[in-house]
Amino acid sequence: MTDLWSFLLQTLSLCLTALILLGAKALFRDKLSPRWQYGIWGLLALRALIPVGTFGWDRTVHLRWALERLRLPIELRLSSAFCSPYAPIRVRSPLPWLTGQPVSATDWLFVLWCAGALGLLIWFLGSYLRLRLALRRGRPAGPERLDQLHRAAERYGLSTCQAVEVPGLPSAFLCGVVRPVLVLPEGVPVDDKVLLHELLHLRHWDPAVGAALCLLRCLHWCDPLIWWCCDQIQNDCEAICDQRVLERLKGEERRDYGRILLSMVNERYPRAPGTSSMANGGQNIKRRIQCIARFRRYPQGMALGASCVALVLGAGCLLGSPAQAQAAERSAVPPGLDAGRAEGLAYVHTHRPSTPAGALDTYAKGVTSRNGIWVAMATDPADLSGLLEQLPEGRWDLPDALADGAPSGTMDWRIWDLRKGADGVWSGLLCVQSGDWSAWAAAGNGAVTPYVQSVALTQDRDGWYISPRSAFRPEPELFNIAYPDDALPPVHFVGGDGAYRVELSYQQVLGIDNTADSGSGFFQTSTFLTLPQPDAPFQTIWTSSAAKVTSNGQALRGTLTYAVLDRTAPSARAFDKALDKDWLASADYPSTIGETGSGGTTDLNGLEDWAFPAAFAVSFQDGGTEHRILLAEQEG
Amino acid sequence: MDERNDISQALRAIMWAQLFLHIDFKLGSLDVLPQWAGWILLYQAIRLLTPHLRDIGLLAPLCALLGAEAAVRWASALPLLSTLLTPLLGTGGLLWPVSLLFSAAGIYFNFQFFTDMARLAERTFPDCGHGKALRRWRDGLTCGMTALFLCGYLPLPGWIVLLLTGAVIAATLFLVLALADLRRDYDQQAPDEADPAV
Repeated sequence: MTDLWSFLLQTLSLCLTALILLGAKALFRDKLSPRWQYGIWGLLALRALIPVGTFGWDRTVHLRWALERLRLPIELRLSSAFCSPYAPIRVRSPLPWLTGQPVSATDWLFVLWCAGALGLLIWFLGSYLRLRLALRRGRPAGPERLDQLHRAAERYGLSTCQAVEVPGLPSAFLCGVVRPVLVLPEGVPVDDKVLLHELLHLRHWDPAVGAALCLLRCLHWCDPLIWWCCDQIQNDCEAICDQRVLERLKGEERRDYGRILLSMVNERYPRAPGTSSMANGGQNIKRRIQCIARFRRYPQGMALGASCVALVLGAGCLLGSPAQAQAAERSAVPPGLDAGRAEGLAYVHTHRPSTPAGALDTYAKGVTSRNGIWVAMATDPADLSGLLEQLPEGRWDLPDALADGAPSGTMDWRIWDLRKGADGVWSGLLCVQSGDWSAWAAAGNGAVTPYVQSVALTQDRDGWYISPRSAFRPEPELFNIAYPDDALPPVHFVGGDGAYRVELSYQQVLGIDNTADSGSGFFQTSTFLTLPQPDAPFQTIWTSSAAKVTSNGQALRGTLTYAVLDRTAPSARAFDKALDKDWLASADYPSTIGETGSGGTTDLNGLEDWAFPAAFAVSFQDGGTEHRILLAEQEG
Repeated sequence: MDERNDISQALRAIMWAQLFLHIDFKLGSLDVLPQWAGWILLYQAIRLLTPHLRDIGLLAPLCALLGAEAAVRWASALPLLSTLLTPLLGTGGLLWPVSLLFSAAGIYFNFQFFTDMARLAERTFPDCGHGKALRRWRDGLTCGMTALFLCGYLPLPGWIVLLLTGAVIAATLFLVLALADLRRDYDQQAPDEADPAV
């Protein structure tokens, strides 16, 4: 956590997790065992350890949205050193970290929080050290005590640790994480069941849990709900220890154990980190005695059910709402062009496109409808402040100067030949053309002029963004952007075996389905979706290929078959396997791009569904002999 | 005799409940096999079984809660109430943590309920294998429901989701068949009076 807002996001997410777990524990209080009731707190520990947003895009949209709405009006007026209003809230680690000198009020609040956390940690450490120093007043446990301890350990199959006797203590307790010590009251008899309780704490590393809870209290020292949850965790720790003790005792021994516990109601108990004690306060002891009174062994065979419940809760606590819900949450209508800077920025930060198709859709609709919010959603975050500075005051209208020559209006789009470069950046040709049916109708047999722009797509931690590589230019020779056409240059693949030279030209057109059907049957109508769909997958794909085969400079005629390869240098086995499939695409030679093609409309969720070919394996017959040639992309 | 009648009626109610809980049949936006009807049937079954199987009574409040949630979700699809309720409910609404708890509760309820039914079957027909069958399909149903829930977090191909849905339906079907076998045995045999409090 490097600024006040990342701390707030982390602690609020932790609170949300805590509330879910408290709700679950209330639902299953008398249904699932104390082991489950205690173990489920592990999800809180995981949430505390894992920074919010680690698993890609954070799915708690409403929480982020609320925090961004709170942060941005404040941070847009400040010049904070620790955070920028033009970058979303980011939690880099669960621990606090100062990244420079504080400048603004929010910077100093974060420093204050860090100081509080550090101060509390020092106080806890001091308490622990004072306790360890006090234990030095004691002396090693005498032979009778040691004998009792070892007999108890042997009887219940537990291991022991170093034991000391200290005068003036009300009851026994365990102290220490790395080298734990069992502290016994000097001159006061200790029942075997008390020893059993403490040895069970030792076996299950409960002092370590106590120390971890202290760290959690320090990190979230100003969060009362987390402090309360830490108390509940320690109470559950004692409750499960009671359960373990009772499982080892029989009949009257269990009643004796309850009586011992009752005798501790008014006792003080050590609260230093890294300690565990059988006594934990009057109220808690009363509750534990009630649990002992209705003790039962929980039935076997519940592990599957309990685990499935824990899995479901874990997914919800750590990952937020599931993907469908995430899409529903993010489908909220964007703010209008007259929205305030803070409101618009909050929307931008929480609705970054999560797919390449979504980024293209958001960008294309943004530039063509001159909507600065949509363009900002799909812009490189590093360029966001520069973009906002050029927008008119109090408005999000995109000036024509920032539209890179894009036509204005309701435009559909396609991306042609989208390929990944060696630098990991995708690039392609973005084509836009009117999506307004009346414009097409008015054009008669002519086309509505499309415009094309070279663009790059990059993925960062928060989503995808577009970087224009050229201005839009009109392309009147291109009739319809939805289908391959030789009006735009295809990608060339060439190869040969000395005797033959093969050239295969390839075009791929990707897009999304921007139409929504309403009504049914004869009365069905289609409307164009003007709002961006930042999470849409590619849904339409059309490809076309053209081939040319020459031998000694002579152009040959025929039909070749080809297979798409995802590697530029496949193994011989992979090459042959690709060509041995039952069905292969084919191309006549010679032929022209756009003469034939294939494709359709379907959700293309996986990269393998739409990735541009890295190479081709082609096969053709000449003179009764089959020739197989690897084609690589032509340089330049 | 009362015990046999109660258990027979309860088993019939449970079988019918599975139809409402796992099958959606909509006319427009109206679900004509609402889930809340299934929860009502299960609640009736629990009331009939409680005198003969004490622990199953612990599930009654959970059953009522799940039924109420199903009723609210069903009502949210009605035109008059959808505007008010839809933003709050469902996994995409503001109260998705509540939805998460109900999902967990539903999985637990199914698991515990059929565990109790298996115990009931084993008590009365210890050698017929009813208990084993119920536990087997209970496990399948629980794992299927959990896997389907987790699918919402993963970009899995549609066929996997279909496969899991099919597995849940198959497990439910086999559970219903196991319950039908049990009910047939109850109807045909007059079991000796056993200890009612199990």
